[in-house]
Amino acid sequence: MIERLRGIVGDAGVRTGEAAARWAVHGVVPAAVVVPGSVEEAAAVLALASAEGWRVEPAGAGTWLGWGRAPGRVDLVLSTARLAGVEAYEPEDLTAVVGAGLTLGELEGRLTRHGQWLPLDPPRGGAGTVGAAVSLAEAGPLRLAHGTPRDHVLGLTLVTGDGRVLELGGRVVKNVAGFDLVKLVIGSRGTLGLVCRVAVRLRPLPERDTTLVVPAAGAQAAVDAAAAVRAARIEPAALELISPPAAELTGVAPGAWAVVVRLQGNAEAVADAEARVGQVVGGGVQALGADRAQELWAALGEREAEAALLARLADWPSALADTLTTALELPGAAVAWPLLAHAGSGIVRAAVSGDAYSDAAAETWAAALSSARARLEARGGTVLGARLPPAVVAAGLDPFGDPGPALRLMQGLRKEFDPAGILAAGRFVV
Amino acid sequence: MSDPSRTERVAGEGAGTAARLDAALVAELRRIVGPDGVITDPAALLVYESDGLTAYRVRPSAVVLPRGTAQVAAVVRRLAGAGVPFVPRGAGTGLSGGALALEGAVVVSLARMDRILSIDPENRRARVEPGVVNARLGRAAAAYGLTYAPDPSSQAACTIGGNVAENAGGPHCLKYGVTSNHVTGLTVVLPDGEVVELGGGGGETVGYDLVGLFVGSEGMFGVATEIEVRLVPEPEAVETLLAIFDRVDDASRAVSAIIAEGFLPAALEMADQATIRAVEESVYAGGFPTDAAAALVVEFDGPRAGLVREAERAAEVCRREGAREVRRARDEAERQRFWNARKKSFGALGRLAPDLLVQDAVVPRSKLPAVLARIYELAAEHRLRVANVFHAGDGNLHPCILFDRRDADEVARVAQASKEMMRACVEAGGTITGEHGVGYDKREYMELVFSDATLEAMCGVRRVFDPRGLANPGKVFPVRVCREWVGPATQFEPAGAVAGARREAGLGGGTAA
Repeated sequence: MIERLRGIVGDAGVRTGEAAARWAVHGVVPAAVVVPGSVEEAAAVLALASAEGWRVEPAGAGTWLGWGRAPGRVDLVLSTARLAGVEAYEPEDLTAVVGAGLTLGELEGRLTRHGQWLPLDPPRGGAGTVGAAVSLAEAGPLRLAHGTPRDHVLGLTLVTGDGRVLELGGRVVKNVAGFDLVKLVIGSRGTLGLVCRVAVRLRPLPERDTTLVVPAAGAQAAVDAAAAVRAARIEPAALELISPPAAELTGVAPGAWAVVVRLQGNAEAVADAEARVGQVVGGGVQALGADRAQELWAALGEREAEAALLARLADWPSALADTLTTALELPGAAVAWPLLAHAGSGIVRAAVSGDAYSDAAAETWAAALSSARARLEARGGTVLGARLPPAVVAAGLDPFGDPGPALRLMQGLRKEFDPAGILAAGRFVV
Repeated sequence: MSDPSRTERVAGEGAGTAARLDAALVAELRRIVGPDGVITDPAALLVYESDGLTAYRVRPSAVVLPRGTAQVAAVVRRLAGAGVPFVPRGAGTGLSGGALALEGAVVVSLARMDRILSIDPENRRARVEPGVVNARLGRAAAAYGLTYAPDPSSQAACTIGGNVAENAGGPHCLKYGVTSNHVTGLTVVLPDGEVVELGGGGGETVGYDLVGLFVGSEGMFGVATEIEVRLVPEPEAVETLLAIFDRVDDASRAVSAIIAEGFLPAALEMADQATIRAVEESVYAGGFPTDAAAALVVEFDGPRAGLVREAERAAEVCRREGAREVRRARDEAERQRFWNARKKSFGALGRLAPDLLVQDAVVPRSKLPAVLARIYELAAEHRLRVANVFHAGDGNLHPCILFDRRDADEVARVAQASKEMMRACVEAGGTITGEHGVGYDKREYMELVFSDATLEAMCGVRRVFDPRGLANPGKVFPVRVCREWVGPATQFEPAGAVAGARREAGLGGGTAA
């Protein structure tokens, strides 16, 4: 196997032994990590893997391998780390075409010089790759104003499980030619193919970007402050609600909650919005300097990225108080580990840190999250296990929930793109 | 795409069809939707023989008008049982022949499903039936200070269901995004009659994003019977500029400059001299100087604070790029006059020539000056009149060729020029359709932008939803591509011989774009 892979990608493109162990998926160590240097090499690897029935885990920088269920077997991790170039960037068009292995941080560096950005801030920050954000449909607080990857991606190159190279979508900002397979691939978690290249729509950097912190005595006070901002039509770029212990990162007193409001736009509009936030929440608002704000957003993302267990509880924004109440019933919530909520989108993340979780309590966690899921699903909400320790999954928690009768379609689609069933087998849409 | 001289009568009618749609099946359909819910009278079917692209016509074997998801499911199940294909249809304002009932298809009209099921102002969502007219949803949302953002120019007539099928755009999509950015959930009747819920509700996507996949599937994955959409707040303020240019090139460079310099207009539209003159000679005259080579409408919306300064900075860019005059609308009435040059332009152009052919290509914004110049060049080479009125900020061109279908030589030049224009757009890095859809009209252009492997993958996706190819057969794919597609031989009727042939070959009712 190794020799044949080297024949395709060269010696530098195959890592084995200790170098491969670092890429273990839920503790399952791959026989090799393959890092193709071109789309054609990736296609040849996948065609061979399909023919041989080798199980493949698509990956980028390897920072998000712990999603979903543990795979039964991993023969190869296939990484886009060497597909990391900026292939086309026309600042006048506000579009860019990049290798999927380019990190969001590197991309940001290229764009900032031209006064542009990709307004996407998933928890892993700049270290994660564009391809991973797309494959996992990861977004962060900025989703409120700017949306999720489905709102940013114009086109992509996908290598299917059996090695076909598909150019999906396009490079222009508006395109309805053919079916929108780009949307299908976004969030498909590598089960339809390896995303090798991504065309994105960019935005001009806002003239002013201000972050405000509003302290709140407790969960209800925080919900009320966020609701007041929403009702006042202030239209922030992000509206986050942070429980202790992470609220301390914002500078509020220990034990307090915080509402963090990010405002973007022209100078007058942001100044006006800032004043209105002060009016509707009734004082105590602290504006952060630019550096301090950047640190805070990075630190909050880090809390999620570093969590041993990360679950997302989602329902309508108007139901935020109920969703929070449900989340607060999880063991140790807001005391041992923080809740972070996208208040404008109704999504509460339970970011359980390593010191607050142990496999000994796996069954307790599985039961608690299952019961939270039952409560939310009864109202049309969801609970997704963004990252679950294998023991919690083993204790009976399905990371993703049940898509209902549409599952039949999803399974059919998976088979169209990965007929041999080698991609992320058993982990998603099973 | 097709020979524009002819109203094309597409095979699919006649004896073979009648055998499939027998009296017993019609009776069963009547039992499901009521006696007045099935149309088979040939005269009454005339209304359904084309969409807004009236160059193609085919009479459906019947039209069924169900009410509610259960009736749609029962109708589709029954048709599937008999192996009869079907075409979902909204208001029939589409511009790609997507609603043509090929292969003896029955039209499933969603006209009677026009209820706004709910509006949830707090969560900014609405749930509607597919027959709800776009502008009506906008008006209903306005009661809560909200609006539905996608605004195709046909919004007074077109339906949300049709918008979902085509992934419709509109002038304000520049800032707000197209239909797929605003649809959050769907109830879908699959081509075998099964009902599935995709997305919707307050939760996150579970499994694949089938909502995103379904939007823009041109009726080939089934029938959307309920649609959940995002509503957005009505902007606090709007500032609208009209910039007049003596050279088209200056106007298109101004467009590129506005985008490149970091403005985010709500809309950025362009009209050239031919368009301006047509409008000024019509009842929609807005006081535009008819000697101008081009006009831009630049609109900003959002918080009141700072908006005037932003508009003034954009006006400065226009002047720097050579605008001879930039006006800022003083009130809503003046704003509407600025917009008339854009919104009523297709109707006004219809006065200038018996026939129009409109395209929908998209190019990278920085390529606008070059591509636009190439389009005028091609028109001159082929001795044709072309008018350009389009979504400049998105790079979404609508070159509009004026011609007379009775002039066979001119018609041949139109066909050649339009092919070369499309090629120029694709070669500049663009695509063949930005908002009208592929439908029947642009199928053969698909190979300009997609490889065989990609087209075959799209067919594979279609087979998952519709293994028997019963939902809107004969659309989107070039004839040779999909295995399931056994296209009928297209029959042409001699030019001029078609009863009721309308003058707008390639364009319907002035509601385009």
